[in-house]
Parts: sequence; structure tokens; C-alpha cells
Amino acid sequence: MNMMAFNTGKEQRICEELISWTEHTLSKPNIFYNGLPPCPYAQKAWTDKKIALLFKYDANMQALYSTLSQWEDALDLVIIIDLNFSEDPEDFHDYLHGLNEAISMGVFIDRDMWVMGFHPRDEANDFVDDQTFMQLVEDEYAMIFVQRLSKVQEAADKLAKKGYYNHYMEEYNAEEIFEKRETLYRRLKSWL
Amino acid sequence: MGQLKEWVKQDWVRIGSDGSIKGKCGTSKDKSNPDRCLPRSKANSLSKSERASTARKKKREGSKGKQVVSNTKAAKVKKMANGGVAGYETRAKRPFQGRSAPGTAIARGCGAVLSSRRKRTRGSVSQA
Repeated sequence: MNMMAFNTGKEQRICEELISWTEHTLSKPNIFYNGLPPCPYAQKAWTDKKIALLFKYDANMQALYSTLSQWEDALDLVIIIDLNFSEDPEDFHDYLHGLNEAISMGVFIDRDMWVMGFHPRDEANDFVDDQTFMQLVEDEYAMIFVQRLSKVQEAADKLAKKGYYNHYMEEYNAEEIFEKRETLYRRLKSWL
Repeated sequence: MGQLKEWVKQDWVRIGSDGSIKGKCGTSKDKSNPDRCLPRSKANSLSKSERASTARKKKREGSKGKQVVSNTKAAKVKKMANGGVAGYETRAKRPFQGRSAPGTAIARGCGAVLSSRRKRTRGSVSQA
């Protein structure tokens, strides 16, 4: 990471937990992803210092809006650690879906952005959690991933050709998310 | 999306290193180290040199790889923690009528104090 500075020991432990989660779980081949790792690019992004973390302690979304409106291409991914998240995963994801629409409409000027959420009670977590990972932080937190839409979609297209989404689509209703992202990507391309 | 509406209303603008308002936030051509952004009301409440100072701080520390570069003291955006409107600096209720001393200002909020015992503060301050 680039000059990552933590305000508390908890922030540091969350960072360590994420790096550990990436190594132990996200980078291991997984049957649900056709034998590919759930996040094939995550490990390299950490190594290349292309990931930044921001910590959100209240309901204010300013950090997210600033990340979107002042995106830095030196990074591949900004993870907003949300310690004050909506209890209902549906509400949490609905908000991010709405935000993706707002991005696509040019609210943040740069339309080539994509936000994706991780909620501790997401059904999809069962696909990657093999129960062997040791948690370092007791508190639950959600995550908001901020990336370039074009990079995510182009990487997803490559993975789709390798069958990454085949099983995943059957077991979990991911088609909706995939189609939505694809639609926004096409809309972005028509703007450029 | 109430917070987003509020954020849009704040009309965040991009501050150049010379302190001038360059346009909408998000229009920076330098995508690896974009310019400082501030809500328009906050930007307008600062002098050009104060805007330049916070913009240069962002560029300087951003070029060293720092992800979050805090604003200078003068450019701090207040009340944002509650999702409220970017704050305004408090203003004196009546114009200052005392003897001015270069580089200092009378500390406010101290109530009525004998003129000979007024607290003066130095540094990046100005007397309204």
C-alpha cells in the first residue's frame, strides 16, 4: 500500500485481516469459480501497492463521494471499510446500485467508476468461506469497493471466457449484477 | 440518496495550485494525482492564498503517494461528519475597532476583556 497510515490499532488489524483473507481465501482455486480463485487479481494488487483503505465510522458517505470524484489512477482499488453499515444487506446493496446509476449519469463527472459491496451477511460469502480462516477482528464491517468500471468489466469478460461465472451464476443469482454492470459499461463506451 | 443530493448541492470545485477555482471537481486532467476539491461555499470563503496553500499541500503529499491528504487548517470542511452543509467560519458580530498589530489577531470568544489584557494569537490568522 502507498503510505498507509492507520489511526487506530483496529484499523491496522482490519488491514492485516484483509491481506490474510486475500492470501488464504480469495487467491485459492475454488470449485464455485470453475477452479479459479474468487479474486484472481487481488493478491497482485496488494503486492503492487495498488490498494488503498479508507475507514468509515458514521453514516456520512463523504469519503465515498470524494473517492469517486477525485479518483487516482495510481490505484486499482479503494476499499472503504464501513463500520457503520446498514444491517440489511438488501438496503446496503440497493444503495450501491443507485450510486452506480448516479455515476453513469455523470454525477461525479468521471463515469468510468464502479462501486461494489461486501456485506457480512451476504449469501455469496458462503461460496468463498471454507471455515478455516482465522478472524483477527471481532467487529463486523461491510466493505465498499471502488474501481474503474472499464477495468472491472474487461477483467470480468476475460474470466467469463474461462468459465469463472458458470457455476456461480447457477448457485447464486449473480446474473443481475453482471448484466447491470455490462449495461453501464456499454453506456460508458457509447459516451467515450 | 438524500446525502448524495446534499453533496451535489454543495457543488464541489477543483482548486488549482495557484489558488484559482478551475471548475467542477472531477475534471482534473492529472488522474494520478488530481487537484484538491472543496465545496464551492468553502472555496469562496477562503482567500486565494489559502486556497493555493491547501491545493499545493494536496499536490505535494499526493506526489509522495499519500492517499488522503487533509486540508490546511483554514480549508477544513466542517460539519461534514453529520452529513450537513459544509461549514462557514464564524464572523465577528461587530467590526474590530482596537489597535491592529501585524501578524496577530484578537482571540475571539473570550468575552469582554480589558484592552490591555486581550489575548493575541499569531500564525495564519487575520482580523475580520
